[in-house]
Amino acid sequence: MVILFTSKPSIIACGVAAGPLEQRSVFYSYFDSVAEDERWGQKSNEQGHSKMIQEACDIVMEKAKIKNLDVDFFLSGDLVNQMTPTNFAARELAISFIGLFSACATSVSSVIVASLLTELGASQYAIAGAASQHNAIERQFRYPINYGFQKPATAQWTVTAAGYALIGKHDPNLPSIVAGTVGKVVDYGEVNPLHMGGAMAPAAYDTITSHLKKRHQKITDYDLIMTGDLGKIGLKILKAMFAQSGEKQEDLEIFRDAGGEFYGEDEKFQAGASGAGCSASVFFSYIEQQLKTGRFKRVLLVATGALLSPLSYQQGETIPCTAHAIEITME
Amino acid sequence: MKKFIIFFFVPFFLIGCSNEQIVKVSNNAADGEKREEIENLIRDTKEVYTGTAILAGDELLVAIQVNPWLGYKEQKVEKKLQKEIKEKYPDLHVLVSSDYKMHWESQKLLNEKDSKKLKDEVKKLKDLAKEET
Amino acid sequence: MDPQEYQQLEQQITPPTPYVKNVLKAFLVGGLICTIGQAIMYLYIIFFDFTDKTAGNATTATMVFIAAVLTGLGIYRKLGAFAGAGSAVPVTGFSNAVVSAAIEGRTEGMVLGVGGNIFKLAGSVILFGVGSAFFVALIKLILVTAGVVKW
Repeated sequence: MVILFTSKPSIIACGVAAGPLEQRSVFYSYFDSVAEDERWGQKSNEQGHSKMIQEACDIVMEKAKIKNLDVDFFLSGDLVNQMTPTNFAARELAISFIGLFSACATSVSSVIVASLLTELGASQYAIAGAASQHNAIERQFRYPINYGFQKPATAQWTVTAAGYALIGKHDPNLPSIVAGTVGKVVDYGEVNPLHMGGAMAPAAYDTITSHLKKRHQKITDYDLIMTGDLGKIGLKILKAMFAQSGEKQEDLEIFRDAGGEFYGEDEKFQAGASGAGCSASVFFSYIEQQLKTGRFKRVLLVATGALLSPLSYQQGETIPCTAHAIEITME
Repeated sequence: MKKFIIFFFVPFFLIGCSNEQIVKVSNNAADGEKREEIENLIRDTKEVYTGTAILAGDELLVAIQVNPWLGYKEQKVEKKLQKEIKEKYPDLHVLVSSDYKMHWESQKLLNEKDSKKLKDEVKKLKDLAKEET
Repeated sequence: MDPQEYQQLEQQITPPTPYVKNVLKAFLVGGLICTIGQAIMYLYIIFFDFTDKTAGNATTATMVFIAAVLTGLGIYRKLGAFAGAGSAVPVTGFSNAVVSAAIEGRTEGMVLGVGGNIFKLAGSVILFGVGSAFFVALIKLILVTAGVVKW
């Protein structure tokens, strides 16, 4: 379903807080704050996760020179059970809060909801975004951190990062959200939880094609179409799908993937980065700044999410996936 | 990676393979004939590549090392040799062992001159061999 | 594109698992771990009053201890990521599974956290290990009673 935002809500300010390992990221220089300690000085990983979200939101408010009382909505999500890190951060922030879960696609689904609220006139300022903390999420979905096991080349590394954006009324000097697509849940029968890129690529394909169709656009109308965390292999699959549907090979260069690029060519991270914080931290730092400088005029940000739980794949279920997209322009 | 692999093969070059049996019997035993017979008994057991016999009075400790490829026969070889020696010398307290500890310690006892001490050591080793845990 | 077509496409692009390389890595690292174990065993035999029979337990305990320390330092994780089965199959891998789960549970307290999580990964190894040992012993008992083999 494609939504047109006629009032064109703008991204007023962005804040990204990341963990110590993210210093290796190629996007490192765009991040606002990088912690020395992956627990942010807290007792548990989950508390650190919560603290990281708070820090990113504080950066956003500081940049926009507003206080938490000025913010109408806080829309966010993470991947821990019942989203406690986000809930606890919301307790500290004391802003009207709706928790959203679209797995790693939360970064964009929250922006869509924030844009809708802005469009409605219900919100002057809304903070939207997502976060993930490596240790907390690995524990949730896979093995204990110090358990040694061999990862296949398709595996991805959950990032420790929180990315938040302040969505407000249209400002011609700022990047503006003109349309958004709420994705369907797509399941092509992938069962391997260590091959998320392969599971999520069809969802990204579905969302991008329906967005382009409804908007009567071609992929070349964009300066960049960036997916969230398909990883290196997932991005190749997505490109191959577009190639099969008749797109020209040279036009496919428009597709990039935040997760695939996140750690550069470092083989330690296999196919790249993943996690709700991956797309959020890249979209709300690098992409926002590139839009502001005018390097990109029109981008489509497609955050992808795998809607599985450890229980569901142990019970032999396939991995349903979703993708949400926002079209951002800079005048 | 290449260096890594070469490193692993170094021991093979250093050790190589030798088919020679090394059998030693402690000098302390007065009876030369007995010594020779025990040595021959060990030599006749093909699976053994190192055998050491310590004779101290009526205590006899035979430490053998069985060819690693025939490790699965170890217990059988032990038993067979034990039986053979026992038949030949019913008055000796014999223990045939393929344990590495026995081999190691018996090497040290080969040149022990003090027969009282030798006997004590042999008895101690035999007790050790009986320990299960 | 239907799911079957997609799966074909996906398999074409997904790099195949390098089985030969993985097996070699597992062989080398697994062998190295066992060589260290053997060295420790000889150490016990040569310098202490242990025999082949009794040194086994002491060696196992030492290897488990070393792996536990390496797990705590985060080194065993890296080793496991490289070696796969080579570091998982020896007893050190069992130690890694137990200790890593225990570390993870520490934030929930000693009883529910450490106690409740410690055998999360290794529990099934214990269950099926003890279970299969029981049945093997039972079979042997029957064979001995029937006079086919001796103990």
